[in-house]
This record gives sequence, structure tokens and C-alpha cells, in this order.
Amino acid sequence: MNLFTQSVISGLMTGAVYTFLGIGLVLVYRTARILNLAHGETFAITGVAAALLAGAGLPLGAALGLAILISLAFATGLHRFVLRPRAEWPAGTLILITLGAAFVVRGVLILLAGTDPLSFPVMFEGPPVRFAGGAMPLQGIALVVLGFGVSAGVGIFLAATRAGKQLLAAAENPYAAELLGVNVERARITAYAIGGLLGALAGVLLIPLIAVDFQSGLAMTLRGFIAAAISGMSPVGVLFSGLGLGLFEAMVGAYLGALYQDPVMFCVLILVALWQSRNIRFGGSRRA
Amino acid sequence: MTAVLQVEALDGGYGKLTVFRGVSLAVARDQTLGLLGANGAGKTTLLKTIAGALPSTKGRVLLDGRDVTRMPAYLRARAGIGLVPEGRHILATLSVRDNLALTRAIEGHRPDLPPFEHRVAEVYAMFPRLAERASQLGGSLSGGEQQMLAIARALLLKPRVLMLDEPTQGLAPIIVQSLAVTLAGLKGRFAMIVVEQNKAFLEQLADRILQVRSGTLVAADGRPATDN
Amino acid sequence: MRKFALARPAALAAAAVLLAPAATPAAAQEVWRIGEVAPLSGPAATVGTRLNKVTKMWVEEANAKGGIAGRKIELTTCNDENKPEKAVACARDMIEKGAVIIFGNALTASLRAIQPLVKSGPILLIPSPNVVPGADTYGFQVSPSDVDITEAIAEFLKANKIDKIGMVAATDASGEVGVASARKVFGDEKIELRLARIDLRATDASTQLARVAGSDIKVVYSSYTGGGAITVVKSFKNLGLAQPLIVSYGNISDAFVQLVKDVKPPRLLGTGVAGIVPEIVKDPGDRARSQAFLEAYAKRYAERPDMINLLGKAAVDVAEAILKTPNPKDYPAVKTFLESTPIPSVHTQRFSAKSHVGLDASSVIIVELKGETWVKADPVK
Repeated sequence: MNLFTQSVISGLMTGAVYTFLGIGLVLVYRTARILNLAHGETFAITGVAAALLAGAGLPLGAALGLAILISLAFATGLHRFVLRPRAEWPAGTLILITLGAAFVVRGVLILLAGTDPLSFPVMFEGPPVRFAGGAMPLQGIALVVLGFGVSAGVGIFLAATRAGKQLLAAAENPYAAELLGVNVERARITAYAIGGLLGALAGVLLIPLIAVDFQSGLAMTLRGFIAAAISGMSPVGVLFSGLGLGLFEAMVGAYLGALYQDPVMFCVLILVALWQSRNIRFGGSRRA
Repeated sequence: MTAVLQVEALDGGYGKLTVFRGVSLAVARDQTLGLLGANGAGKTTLLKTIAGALPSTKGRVLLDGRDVTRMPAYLRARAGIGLVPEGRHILATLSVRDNLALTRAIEGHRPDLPPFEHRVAEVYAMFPRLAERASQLGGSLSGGEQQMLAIARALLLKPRVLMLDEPTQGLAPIIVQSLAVTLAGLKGRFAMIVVEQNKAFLEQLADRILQVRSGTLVAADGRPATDN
Repeated sequence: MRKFALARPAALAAAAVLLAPAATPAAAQEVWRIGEVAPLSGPAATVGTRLNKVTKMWVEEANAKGGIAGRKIELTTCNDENKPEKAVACARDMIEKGAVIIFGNALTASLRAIQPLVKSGPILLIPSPNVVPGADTYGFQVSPSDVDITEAIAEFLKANKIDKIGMVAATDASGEVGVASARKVFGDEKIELRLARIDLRATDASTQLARVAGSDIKVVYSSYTGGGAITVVKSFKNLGLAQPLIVSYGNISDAFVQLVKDVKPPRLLGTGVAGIVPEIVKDPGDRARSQAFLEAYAKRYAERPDMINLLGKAAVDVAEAILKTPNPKDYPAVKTFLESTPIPSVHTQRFSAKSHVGLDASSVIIVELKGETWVKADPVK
């Protein structure tokens, strides 16, 4: 077995997860100016719901579909019924509210499913694909292809379509966008829905390879946040930061050892933060 | 006189703070109304309320006789109320062309709308500088160019009434002059409300001028305005 | 007890008000105050809740019979969320309130943090194999030590004429303990150890397995406990590895079996104390007690008990023996009692003045998952 090939495979899979979670956070941040700390809960909700529904005898496809819908309802409901009525509150308070929502979800998941981890079967069954001394499960290939594909699709949607630009405008200046006829409220709910969908897809694809429990949500939010922060909250940048983080994590884990993963990772984070703040430090600004 | 825009006994402000009270005015489809007033008189709040960006607490706003008082801002924009806001509010991270294209949100909501490319060609003809800078980011434009872009965006809404909030603010005198010429060229095509502190500019442009004083409208001679 | 972790301050205050009138007569009646520190939320929640179920069952049964030595038991369970600082706060509070015994139903780091608090009592009962409390302390471990468990693995390897093992261990404190025992035991037994560490948050273990599971390796051992162990098992399957995989005693549970039943490696082995498969327990008393507990637990909770439940049972049996001594609050006397008296349980606990670990390698077996039950492991070819 070739360690390098396997590290690349592992890095691609981990990177896809970073990207999946990161882009949803970026999207909501860019449209609603909120760092949604309950974002990872869409992952946990989908996973727990799918596991419970499949366990109750529903066909896998139906269980997954229903679980994705529940996650979507959560993501849009969080905006519509919790955050929107408080739109005038300070951003810091709203972030705390999303954190509170994350803990409420945890509680509900414990009540529904207990504390033990759960899982459900893979969608893509079959022997792993072997190449260059590495092995990759079919589900892992789906995770990588869909993870980067869908995230790239979201990036293109934002940068190149009319609806995407309306979303960006609604984010940058909701007042100006409204005056130009843009339905800002619809743009925001669209952003939450896309974010929820991406979190749910990440769950559907990744959880069969690991497991999910009531506390997976915040861990996923953190992953997404690291990728999003490194990209500078850019919907296209998060694709590269996610991929880079995944490969980096796998390589450090394989060649230096998992004990070095966190120290090295956080050093990189600090360096990136210093790099991104260089303009501020030197008194300039990149924005006109 | 058939008024395109009619405001009846309107009260408005921010939350519980009332900024203007009992404002009534009417603008005919070929008329330009000037509103003069010092800082803090309530001019900007009034325009924002007419545009639907702030809620009113009393009174009505009618567009072509239709009550739009409860309509959100984006629907009023689609219905034909155009506001060039104070400070211009250019989307700095979008290109000039994308700033203009945002107005396509009105497509499908207005009858007899010419194709977007025709409408854009028209505003580019009026502001050739914008055509030159079409792919530049909004944030990189000069103050005068930003004002052109803000007006161009509002024109792409095919407004029934166009409201401009302090269009000369922060502009060099020579640019103010060319702006006056541009706006004079638009006179008569739709109803206009121009809010200014620059009295000379308003006198060049407006068919009639009202003053805003501590949240109420008065005629230029200081008597309470009985506009309709 | 889960509510404890979720409760908001307001709810806690309300609960305090509700409990207040009851507290006074209870104190007058004299009860045994028993503390339990357990992670009921956080990454170690599966361990904490399983141990807590056994403790609760014991308290219910004892109180239903009128208590022990004429006094009812009052159990306080404190959720440490697997955070050492929280565990210390929990234990300090219990000691102040006069707890006579503390169940250290927590993980390694929390237990190490609590240990210094019980220098002069009360007795701290420890189901974790990773702590190995010194004989001069008031800590008593009711499980075999991690070294004992590793020795049982070495024993199994030698019996199968295997001289190399691949191992995956987590990067947390439990992982450290596992690595230290593996280095010592496999080193002494001349078994080549190939080791890779894995981060607790990892979503893929294939690079670790690629490193340790070469074609010359006949057996792979994952000392990982908790939810992350599933990641190792699934990656193992996804890589198409064919060696038997040994998982930690912490995973010998029904919940784990349910999770891995579709993604099982060709052979899934595990470490455990023999009581989990009563038929192979040699001592007839131990066998009968194991059998009885497994049945009683299954009846109470309608689920199959696992290794962790079994260790919890050992802890409550020792607690019951302590409460039956003439003066359970005379901690030096209790210490001497425990050091000199075998305590019958699912495995008879034999502490001594030299060791506060009640079980040794002879109580550990290597089990294998066949269908949905764990049985004694077959040989490895």
C-alpha cells in the first residue's frame, strides 16, 4: 500500500467535507451578515434523521430525502422564525443566538436518539477503487466529486448568474438592492436553504463512512469555519482552502503524525490571518 | 392635474421617533418638485418612506392612484418608484455592468418593458463614461461617476417617479453643472422629486419648490403648503 | 440524569426550590451520600451514560430493599462533560457535601484531575483501566489495567505465533496510556509494533491504516474508544483490509455492533473481561454473578449490557461492600478492609496493600463478534 497515494485520497475526502461545510457558512455570511454557528447542525440533523428513519424500516432513498428536507426546514426556519424577527439586533447577539440554536438542536437530538453514535448504509456500494497503491471507497469518490462539484457550482452561481449576483448585492448592501427591485428577503432565505442543503448533502455522503451523534454539528461548523476563514469568506476561495486543508491535514497526519496536526494547523491559521490583515496593519485598505 | 405620485397626510420616522408629520404632496407625470431644507429637517426620511425602505405610521402613498403604503421597497421599485439614495449606495464589489443588471429584477413585473440591452444602451448613451468603465468594480469609480451610475440604475427601473436625494453632495462645481444639464434633459419624461440643500441648483431644475422644516412641508414663502 | 447537562440555570433554580423541602427530613434520616462524576454529554457521553445506568439501577434496587445497613442511598450525579476542570468542581462539591464514596465514572484525564482531591478519602472507585491508582491513595480501580489488557493481546498473539502487530491510537490521554502499555508489553514480548496516531476529530483513518496494516501484519489493534472507533472500523473495511481487527473493550457494546454490522471487517475481535461471555468464566461464583447481572440489566433497560456496564457493576459491588463495613466513613479502615478482603463481583476484586487494581490479565479475554454476539475469539491463521 502506498502511503502517499492514500494520503492524497484521504486528503481529498477530508477536503471535500471542509469545502461542503465552508461554502454554506460563506454563503449565509455574505448574504445575511451572520456567522451561523448552527450551520453544522444541518449535518447532524440529516444524519440522525436519516439513521432513525432508515432504522425504522424506510427505504434508504426515502429516508435520505426526508432527512434532507428536515434539514432544509431547520435552516430556513432558523432564519425565518428566529433570526429575521431580530434583524435589528447587534450582529454579536445574533451569532450567540445561532450558538443557542445549535445547543437546542443538540438537546433535541439527545432526546430523539440518545448519546450513542448512529449511522446508515452507503448509497454507493461496491469494492473500493484501487489505483497507484491506494484504495478509495465508491462513497468517498461520490463525496469528493459532489463536494467539489456542488461547491464549484455554488461559486459559479454566485459569480455568473443573475440570481447569484442579486444574492451578493443583498449581502453587500441590502438597502441599495431593495431600491433596485431585488427581493432581499428571498435572497437570504435562498442562501440559508442552499447552506442547509449543502450541510445535509455532506451528512448524507460522509456519515456512512464515519458515524454521527448529537454533538457532530458544532465540530462540523468549526471545520467549515476554518475553511471559510482561510478563504477570507470568499465563495470561490473556500474551494481551494478546503482542498488545501484536507490535503495538508492528511499529509501532516501521515508523515509527521497526528499529534502534530493541531499545532501545525493552527500555526498556518495564524499565518494566514496575519497575511490577510497585512493591509490593515500597514494602514491601507484593499477596498476603495 | 393627474398626479403620478400622491402623498396624503404621511407620518414617518425611525421606530417610535417621528421625523416628519402630516406631509401631503402630489407630483404630476411631467412635473419636477424641489424640496429644500437644512440637515436633519426630515427630507431623506421622507424619501425613504415614500420608497418603502422605512415604514410610515399614518397616511397613504398612492402611485398612479393605487395605494402602495403597505408595499415593501422592492415591490415599489418594480412598480416604478425610483430612488437615487443619499450617498449613492453603489455596490462596490460588483462591476458597473452588474450594478446596472441588478435592476433586471423588475423584468416580468412591468408591461411594455424594452429589452434590457436596449435600456442599457440608452443609459450608456447618456453617460458614456459608464460604458467605458462597464467592467470596472463599482468601488473604483470617482464620486461623479458613482452619481452617474446611481442615476443610471434608477433610470433602468423605467421609473414613473424618480426621486433624487442630495445628488450634488460632495461633487465638484463643474460636475454639479453637468449634472444639472443631464437632469434638465430628463425633465418631463417622468415625475421627479429632487431633495437638495443647494438652492441655486434646485431653482435651475424644479417647476416648484417646497421647504421642509422640522418635519413639515411649507411653501417657499414660509406659509403652510397646501400642495393638493 | 441527562437533564443535568441540558438544564438551564433557571431550570436548575426551579429544581432547587422543588427539592428544598425534601432535603431537610432526608438529612435528618441519615442517608448514604454517594457522588458520581460521569460525562453525560460531550465526546465521552457513551461511556458516562452507560456507567450511570448501572449506578442508578443499583441505587434503585438497594433503596427498594430499604437501603444498605438501614440507610437509603442518595446519589448525586455530576456531568463533567469530559472536562478535567469540571470534574474537579464536581468532586470538590461532593466531598464538601459529605459524600462517602465517589464513583469516578469518567475518562482518564478527568480521573487524574480528581485523584489529588481524595488524598484522605473518601474512596474513589474507578472503572477505567487507564488510571492505575497508587496503593497509598484512596483510589481503587475495579478493572484490569491497560497493561493487563495489552498483555492479554500479547498472550493471544503468541498463542497464534504472530510476532508483528499494527496499532492505531487516539491523540488524547487514553491514547497516550495505550501507546505506553503497547511499547512496554510488546517490547518485552519481542513483538514488533507498528504504530499510528489518529486525531479525535478525524473523518478518515485510511492513512493511519495504510501505515500500520502492511501485508506482513497479521493483526491490527485499535485502542480507540468512543464514536471515533467507528471511523477506524469503516476505513478498515473501505481499504479492503483482510486482517483481523482488534477493537478496545470500550466498543464491546450493542450500539457498536449495530453501527458496524454492515461494514464489519472479515474478522472483528475485541478485548474484554471474561464476564461478558459468562460461559467461559472459570470461577463458578463469578460466572453466576456475571450471568445474573447480564440478565437483570437486560430486563431493566431492554438492551444487552456491554463491557462498560460490566465494569460499572464491579464498582457498585465494591461500593456496597464498603457501605456494609462497620464505619464506611472511617476511610483508613475502609482502605485496609479493601486491601485485605476479596470482594465478590462479576469478577472477584482482589486489591492488596501493594496494588489498588482489582483485576489482572487473567480476567481479560480476546472476544470475537459472531453474528451479533461476542464469543471467545477463534485462533488466527
